[in-house]
This record gives sequence, structure tokens and C-alpha cells, in this order.
Amino acid sequence: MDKTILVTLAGHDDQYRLEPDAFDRLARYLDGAAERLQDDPDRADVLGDLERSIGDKLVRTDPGDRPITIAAIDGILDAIGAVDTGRADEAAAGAAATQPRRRRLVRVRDGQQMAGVCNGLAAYSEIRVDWVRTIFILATVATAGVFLIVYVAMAFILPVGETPAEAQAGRSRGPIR
Amino acid sequence: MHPSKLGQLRKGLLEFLILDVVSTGDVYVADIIDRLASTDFATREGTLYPLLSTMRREGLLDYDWRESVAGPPRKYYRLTDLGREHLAEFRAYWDSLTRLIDELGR
Repeated sequence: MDKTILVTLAGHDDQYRLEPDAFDRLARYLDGAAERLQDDPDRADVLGDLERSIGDKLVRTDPGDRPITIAAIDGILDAIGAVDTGRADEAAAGAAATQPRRRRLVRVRDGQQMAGVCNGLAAYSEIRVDWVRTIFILATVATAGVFLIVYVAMAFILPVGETPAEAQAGRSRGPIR
Repeated sequence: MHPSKLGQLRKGLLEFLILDVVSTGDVYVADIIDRLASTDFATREGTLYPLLSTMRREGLLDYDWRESVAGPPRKYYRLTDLGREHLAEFRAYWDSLTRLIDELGR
């Protein structure tokens, strides 16, 4: 006989026998629900509600001796629908909107002198690009050319990124000051 | 009207419609779903459970566990005093709003 998985659900004394893919689908739904309810003080309560409801519906499908199929689980989960916390989603969206975009060190081609490395460093560090270039040139002279190798290496390693304007916009799109 | 604008409005109204349904007496989740199913406010359990929990935490409604014929006990919801107050306020506001809309559009 094929492998089946026994499942118990909140409030239900009976065990349900599920086909493996049906179990996976159910587990994924409940994991997703738990994740969405992460900051909900009634998390355990709501998860219990969902499990009880799924159990109620499983009783009604009653496949006899056969294990419950993924189609049956899909039907049930579709009827229940994804957990929608409404307010929590708004909070999450708000947090995402106020979070400054992650800064990446890239080469900036717009306004470059050579490969755009200094330009990228300037956008990354918020230091004016002529200062970055001056520091680079001084460092190259002071180290008898070692920094030139650093420059060439960075030119190869760093990906080409957005223009300084875009980098700037990304940076200043933080919380409203 | 742009569907998302109506969607926002609908989302805000759902809470009051639930108060309205629960005010008819002891109801459990399937009753609420059935009552709303044929309306513009058809709602699924995934939305309803978190909302009911929040409303309960806000003191608008409460539930009792009751045995059911088949399956586990069910939560039967009822309005609290605060919930009844909110519903009355909402109805009064809704009346004044529809009057206002009528007047302004005349």
C-alpha cells in the first residue's frame, strides 16, 4: 500500500489519513497561516479555528477506506481561503514602505571617468565623487600603485549598477524626515 | 468607480456587517458566512477568523463554546454591550450619510 500520513487537527479526536502530497499541501497552508499571523495576539486562537474547520470539512468528505487526496484538500483550503489579517498586512506594507532600500556597492556608469568604481563608492558612501577620486589617486601614489590594482580588481568584481540619481533616490526614500 | 476604491470601502464595512449578523442572536461562523454569501460581502473563513478574533479582543463580541451534533464544539458569537453600542452608532451614522448623499446629489 502507498504511504499515507496520519494527521490530528485541533478539536477533533479522530485522525485523518492523508496522501503524502495532500499532507504537504495542508502543512504548507497551516505554516503560511502561522507565518501571516506571526504578530497577531490571537494567533493560536485563529490557527485552532482553522484546524477545527478543516477537520469539520474532512469529516464531510469521508472517502471511506481510502486516504484523503490532494484534490479534496485543495477544495477545502479553497473554500476557507488564505488567511487575511487585513490590518497586519497594512502594517507590513507600511513597514516595507518606510524601510530604506538596501544599499549595494556597484559601479556607476553615469558620469564615470574610467570604470565607474569611484562613482559607485561615492554613491554608496555619500561622499562627493571628487573626494573619492582624490583619495584614490593619493592612495595610489602613496602605495606606489598598489591601489591601482585595487581599482582594476573592483572594476572587474563590482556589478554595474544604477545611475547616481537612482542610487540617491533609493537612499533618500527612507522614513519621511 | 475604480474597483479598488469600492474594495477599501467594503473592507471597512465588513466589520459592521458582522456586528449586524451577530446581533440577530447566537451565530457561529458558518451562519455568518451563509448570511453574507449571497451579498457583495461574501467572505471566507480565512478572512473571518482573524477579524472575529480582533473584534473580540476589542470587546465588541464574545463567544461561548457549544457542543455540536457532529464534530468538535463550536464557538457561538454574541455581541457585548460595547458591540451593540458600536452597531447603533454605525446605523445612525449610516442613516445620516445616506441622507447627506441624497441631499448633496440633488
